[in-house]
Amino acid sequence: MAKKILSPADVDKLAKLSNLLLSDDEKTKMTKQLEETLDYMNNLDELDTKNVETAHSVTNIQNAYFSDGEVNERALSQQNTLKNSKVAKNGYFVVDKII
Amino acid sequence: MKILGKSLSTLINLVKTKQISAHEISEYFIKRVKRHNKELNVFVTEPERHEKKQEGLLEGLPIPFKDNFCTKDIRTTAASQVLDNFIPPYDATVVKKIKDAGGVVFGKTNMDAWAHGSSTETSDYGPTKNPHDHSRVAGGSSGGSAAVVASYLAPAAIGSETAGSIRQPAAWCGVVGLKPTYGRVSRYGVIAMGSSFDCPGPLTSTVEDAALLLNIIAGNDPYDATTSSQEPVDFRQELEKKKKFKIGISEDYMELADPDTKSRLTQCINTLSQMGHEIKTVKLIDPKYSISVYTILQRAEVSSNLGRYDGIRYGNDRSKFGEEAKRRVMLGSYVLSHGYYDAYYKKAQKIRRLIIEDFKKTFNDVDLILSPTTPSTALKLGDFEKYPFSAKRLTY
Repeated sequence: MAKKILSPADVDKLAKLSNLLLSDDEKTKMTKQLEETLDYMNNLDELDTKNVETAHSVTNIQNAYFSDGEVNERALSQQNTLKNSKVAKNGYFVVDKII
Repeated sequence: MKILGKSLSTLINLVKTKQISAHEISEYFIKRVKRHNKELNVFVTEPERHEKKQEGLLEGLPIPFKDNFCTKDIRTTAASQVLDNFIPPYDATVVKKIKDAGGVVFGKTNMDAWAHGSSTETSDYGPTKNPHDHSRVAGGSSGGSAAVVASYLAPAAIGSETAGSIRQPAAWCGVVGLKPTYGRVSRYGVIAMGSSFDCPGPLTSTVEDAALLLNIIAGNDPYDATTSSQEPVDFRQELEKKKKFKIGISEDYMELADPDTKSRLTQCINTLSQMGHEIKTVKLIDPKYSISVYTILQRAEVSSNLGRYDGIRYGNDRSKFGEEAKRRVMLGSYVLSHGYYDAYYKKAQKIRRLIIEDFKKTFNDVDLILSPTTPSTALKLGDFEKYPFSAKRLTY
């Protein structure tokens, strides 16, 4: 892969996807660092991965479920769940309006 | 009685045989923390006096936890300002198991923020100093848990590792660090970093203590579906067995170490050989590819795991993230984004498969692989920035 160059628009898009507000200084610094890192990672092209399966799971463990009716002894109460929230109302979290 | 330097197992026996009380031991460590923590910065949250008498294998002895383990009613920050005010309403499974075994949560130890780093220098609460040389770092990310044992502010501690975060600080502080196999110990209630890699483990002053703590924290957990259903062995009993091992050595790994580290390791290999273990050279995939695979996959998982921090349910908003977390989230977003997913994320997952197969094949020939834990001894404070992609930064 050729050396990757990130445009200011690329970095803005990444910041948006990441839900981060970055200053202009941070953007400049990070662009350079991201380009260096991407450049390093190009060494993966040296390995042949044709016919190789991905390794999303490293344990080969099957899904584990609770049985129907099983009591979750460590479940949190509504009160405890809301304890760390700065704004809660009528037992709910208050979030920004989305639509 | 002189307590200084006594292992956890020794202290347990002393309490059990009523030669000393758990209360006296606790007071001793509280005093040591008050005297030394300011200089070393080992704790994000210092331990408090615990009055209630605990029963069980651990006899009420103090165990500090890395600050990414949720501890009920004790502040848990992951060393980030984002969680500066977070008081977990529940215990991580590992914390619960230690408490059930009669252990006492003895403060929360410093770490790289979100465990992103290898020196505790990315902690929002300042770096932890190496107890052996205050101008050097303790390593990381479990730097506080390693330094707490090395400075004997507690007899043992719990840390977590994603790629080196237990073993590297343990090596740099001169203590025992054990990173169990992924899935052996529950991740439930541990603030997630790289979910397909993260694993809790003990940091101790003796191998016996590591086995003792692993016996307590290992095992299947219905609250973490990635824990193994295979029953753990009794690790302490395993230590008693006289076994002869086939030990693999990779020249490529050895070559990464600086001359001093390499020569000390060669001495160890010779000793093991004299004890009757068989030494065999093995060939593994070049670790430079592992760095790339890890960087891509870990950043991808970080960007996903840190997505939840919005300041709504707990903690502060995303403006409080430090530089390292932001950089990792950005790179993670990049390798997962449309157009780059196949080239980076998927490719890395395939090479992860190649690495797994490579190790599986090697373990057909040998029982274990011996390698330098780190290429060098502890770096000076501030030196990490100089090695963005060198072998010195292999861990995270």
